[in-house]
Amino acid sequence: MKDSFNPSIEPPKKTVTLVSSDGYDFEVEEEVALESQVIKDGFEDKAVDDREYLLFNVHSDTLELIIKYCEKHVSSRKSISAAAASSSSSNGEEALKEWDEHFISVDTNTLYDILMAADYLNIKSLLDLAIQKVADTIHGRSPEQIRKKFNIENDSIIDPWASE
Amino acid sequence: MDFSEEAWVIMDCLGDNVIFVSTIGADSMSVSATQSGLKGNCIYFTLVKDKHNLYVFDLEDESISIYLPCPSLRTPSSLPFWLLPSNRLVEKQNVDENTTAKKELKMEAMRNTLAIIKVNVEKSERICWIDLPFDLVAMIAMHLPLAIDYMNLRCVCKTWAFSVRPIRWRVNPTGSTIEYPWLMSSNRESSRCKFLDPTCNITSHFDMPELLYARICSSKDGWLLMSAGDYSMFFFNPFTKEIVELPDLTEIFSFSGVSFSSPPTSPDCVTFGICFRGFNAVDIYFVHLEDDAWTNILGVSEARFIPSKVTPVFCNGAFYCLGQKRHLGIFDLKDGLNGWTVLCTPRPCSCIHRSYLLEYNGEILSVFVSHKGKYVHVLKLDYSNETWKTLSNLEDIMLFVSRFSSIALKAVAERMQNKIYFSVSFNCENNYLFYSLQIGRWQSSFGDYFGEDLYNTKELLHCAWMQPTISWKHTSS
Repeated sequence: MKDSFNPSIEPPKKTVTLVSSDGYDFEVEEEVALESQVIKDGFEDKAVDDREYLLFNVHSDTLELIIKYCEKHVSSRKSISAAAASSSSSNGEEALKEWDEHFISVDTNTLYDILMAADYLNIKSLLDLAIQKVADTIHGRSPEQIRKKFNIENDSIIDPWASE
Repeated sequence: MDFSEEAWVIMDCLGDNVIFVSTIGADSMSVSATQSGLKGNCIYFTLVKDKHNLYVFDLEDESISIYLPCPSLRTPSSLPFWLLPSNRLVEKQNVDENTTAKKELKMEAMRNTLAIIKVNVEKSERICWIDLPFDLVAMIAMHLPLAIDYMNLRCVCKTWAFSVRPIRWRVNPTGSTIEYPWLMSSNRESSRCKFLDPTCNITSHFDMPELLYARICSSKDGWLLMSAGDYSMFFFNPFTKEIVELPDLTEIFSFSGVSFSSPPTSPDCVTFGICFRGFNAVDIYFVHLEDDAWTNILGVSEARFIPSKVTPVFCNGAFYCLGQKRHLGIFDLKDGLNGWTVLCTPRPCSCIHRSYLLEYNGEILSVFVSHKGKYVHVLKLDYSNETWKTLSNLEDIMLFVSRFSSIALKAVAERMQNKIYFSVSFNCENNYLFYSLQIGRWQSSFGDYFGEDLYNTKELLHCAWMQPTISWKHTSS
């Protein structure tokens, strides 16, 4: 059977509202918001009509990116499992990896925001992606180059050999 | 020359001056570098043997560069000499340089103001990587592929250093987890030293006060044998910071080569040094760890043996020393024998620029490099026939050679097989050269050098390949 789309049996999408630190409302689908372990943890305790989350640590610019990431991951997870169910070959995972790579290729300031937000919202895959990106940026650079790249002031020379 | 003392004084630094040395001797001169537009603190010289080449010795980082200034020149019949162009010409050049220098200064100033504006903009934002939570920094550290990256991360700032534990070097009796050596180099004038990872061309800089004013003499198993001043020698492990002192020398340090049998942590460690005495005799010095003083014996042989400036190699209970004419001197310590023999292995060529001695699986290997690097020969000692056998292929072995330590190892990666890594760089600091025996060419690790010779390269002299026999572990929290 081909994928048949029948709008009449599609349940209405449940949404939650995410409020950024600068006061913007983002209405997102429930399953997208549930990518965040923090939202998921307290989700069942909340009343259905009270599904609004104030994210004091996430700026609207960053929240937009985070939502984009979660939406992409929810949708490609669906298409990957659909492809697996119909046993049709799919390069969905590879395509997602490529998308991730592209997504995380941002300047260090944005990377910092994403990293902090992923940590705050506890989105493991995004946190791993951001951490890996920072590690890749550090790899092959001298301390001076790392400082320059991340705009860090040199406060002292530390002896990395020192053992405790 | 210090005229008040009426004595020659060794100069470690020439400051702004450059010295031109001619082999004829009559026309050596020294000029100020800034006036002539040359790099300061250097000695420019030519050699009798090859009249085309120009060598530059840089006192600051102790390196020799080789140049071919006029490639189309016929072999001159007489020796070259230095000529100082007339003042007018030099001055004109200076004027040009001054204006360009001024321009650059202006540009620099403009860039600075731009940078200030940028910094102000960035400061107004709240991004600050220094405030990254400890656990996130630790997570980043866990994702770093190399020990060097890990150490560099700790050097970035105090907060990051606190978040990431110091490297846990552990003594690893089964061998090293870093399966190839790093090139360690330092400058006696400062306590800064550098480590280069040859597989990814990454250097790390470290501050080691122990290295100040000390010279590297030899290296093995993660230990450096250093000399400080005229009489004092000690072992130093840069990874664990351990120091093992040796008794003072009775004579001023004048060894052609120094080596040691095993790490100074092992009780049967013997330190060995050799120097030329004259005619057919050499002075041999050795000391056991528990000894109060060095033992000096005279090594006499029928053949005239002049030790070359090659670090001796310890193999099967004996120290092997290479002579200037490819003779091989052997100092046998087995059963308290302390015997000195010289093998008159033949000399297939006369024009040797550099030679290196190595040990691999109980076999003695040597590497000979001609002037300008036109050829590189790898030979294996055939002990029973007392001859050197040429090896055209090293198969899965890789060699790391330098003035003070040379290491032969089984290659960890296929791309490193059958290659000889040198302490010679091209163009920039991290771009080191290796020689591929398979294709008989010099190549640089950045891939921008591919040639049959070594022109325009720089050889680092005060350095050693070091393979820590210590492993490092990521430790979380």
